[in-house]
Amino acid sequence: MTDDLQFREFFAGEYGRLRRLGFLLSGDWTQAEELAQEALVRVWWVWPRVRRLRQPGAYARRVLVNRHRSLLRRAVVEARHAVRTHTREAYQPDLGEDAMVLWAAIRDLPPRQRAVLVLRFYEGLTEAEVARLLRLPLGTVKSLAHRGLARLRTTLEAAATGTPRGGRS
Amino acid sequence: MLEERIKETLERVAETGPSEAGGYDGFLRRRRRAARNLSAAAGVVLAVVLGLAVAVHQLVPADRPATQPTPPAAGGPGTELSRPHQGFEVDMPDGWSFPKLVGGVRLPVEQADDGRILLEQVSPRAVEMTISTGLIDPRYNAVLGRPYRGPGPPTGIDYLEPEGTVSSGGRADGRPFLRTVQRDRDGAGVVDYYLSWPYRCALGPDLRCPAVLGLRVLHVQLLWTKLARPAKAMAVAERVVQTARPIGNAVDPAPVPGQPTCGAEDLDRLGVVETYRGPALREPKTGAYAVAPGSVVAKLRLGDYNLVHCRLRDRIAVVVMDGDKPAAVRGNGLAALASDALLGLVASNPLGSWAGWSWTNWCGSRSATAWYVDPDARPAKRLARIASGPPPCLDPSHPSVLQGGYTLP
Repeated sequence: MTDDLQFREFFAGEYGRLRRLGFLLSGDWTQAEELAQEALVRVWWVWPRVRRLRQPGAYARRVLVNRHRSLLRRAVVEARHAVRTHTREAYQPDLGEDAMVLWAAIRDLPPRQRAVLVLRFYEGLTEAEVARLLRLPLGTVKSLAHRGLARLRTTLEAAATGTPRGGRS
Repeated sequence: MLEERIKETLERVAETGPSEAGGYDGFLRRRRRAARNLSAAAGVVLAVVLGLAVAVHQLVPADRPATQPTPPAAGGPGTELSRPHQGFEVDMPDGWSFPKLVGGVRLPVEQADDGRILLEQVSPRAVEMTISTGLIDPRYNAVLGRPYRGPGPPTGIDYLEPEGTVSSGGRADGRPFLRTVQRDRDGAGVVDYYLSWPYRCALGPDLRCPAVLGLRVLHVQLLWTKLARPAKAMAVAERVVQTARPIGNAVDPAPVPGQPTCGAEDLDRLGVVETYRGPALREPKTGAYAVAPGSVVAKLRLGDYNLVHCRLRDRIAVVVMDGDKPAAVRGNGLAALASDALLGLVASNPLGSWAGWSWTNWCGSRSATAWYVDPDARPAKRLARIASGPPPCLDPSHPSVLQGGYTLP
């Protein structure tokens, strides 16, 4: 099988998964598509080397997470100082009420806490693997996961009792 | 269990997205663009190489060989690993190398793009060491002999936060360090060293180096899995801490060659404003808003996220050009950065500090363009073009106006 054919098969198998991971990290399908395509372009450049790996998909995910990590920094600032030139409607998946509340709470998490929880619970990585992937100390990953879970618990409890949450900075 | 609900919700959300149609076309477009960029870059490199070859040929005397002694193999034992932008240099420890495996998955690992050094013990491979610089939580810096004396703890920084069993020590040259140990029940663990490594900077005769830069530490982290015994590796990490050498911006206030300017990579184009939210971007003298609907806004991040890998820029301006000449715009060429007060602002809130320019009511040629410029260069040097087109014409009887501002604490 030629390299090109092999890559197209790889693309067909991985694009959807990468796009979904990009969405869970960014909360935006347009950005998710860009992240997935960018990651696959970078894989394509080194495909003769990557195709020999045991898990080429893991390499693509690592590229995507790294790309998202560098975009995160800018996104955090943009969120605080957004001068919006156009409004993009937040995507609302068709879920039950409980899941909607939880998804809204996950989207509201600070980006690093959300990234740690997505990689832990959607990708099924260990804390050590998340630490290596995000290039964070293990202790920081544990702390981010702990704080993220605590925040979700607080939000869910507040939603269950009808208590409004405190204002966000 | 909350964890199970999260997993289930993430899986359901991920399955409900819009169609994937067009994904491969988008990929092909990106690939073509990347290929074009690469060939352009390759052309420049080729031109530089050819130019250098000619220059070297002309400079080297005929009776002297042009070749230099071969340096030690990159990454071999004893090789000096230098990170002048991060201000440190270490020797590659014997029995260590750059890693081929990360997270148990066989990956071709490039060294971290943020300047960290990632090393792996050759045998067994289940031990990694990361060496970098970062800013330590101000609460811990007093232990390192440099209590933070700035205007309130700076916010918005990813501080290094020591966790685990804490002890302290010192190097032979007197530099103190903190050491933390965390051990998991399965035998894995991590040791972190935080060694005082202050940043030296020169911002001009009247400008103080931001106090936050005194929080910089050299961070050496050793991480091992249950497959490894850490004693030998811990001795290696301790030796790295004892022998790391300050270089670049840890000893010399002059900018390190090639060191990026804070914010220079982040020249931002925002287009015509319809709505504005967030902290006010205000004109420095009057305190008035510098942003109004119908403006074209360009903004520039003043600080860096940890202020350790870049040097601060002290002045930048925006100029609107109409053809080859500055356009008839009130406030054209406005500099928004010039004072130590601004740099103090950056030091106290690096994430939230922005300079911005708002250009309103342009009724002239639609080909007018706005540029970031370095006003201190003679003649003023254009840094980057602001991609947005001119703002709409609101009232031809009023002048076009360029306002500068920055976020106020």
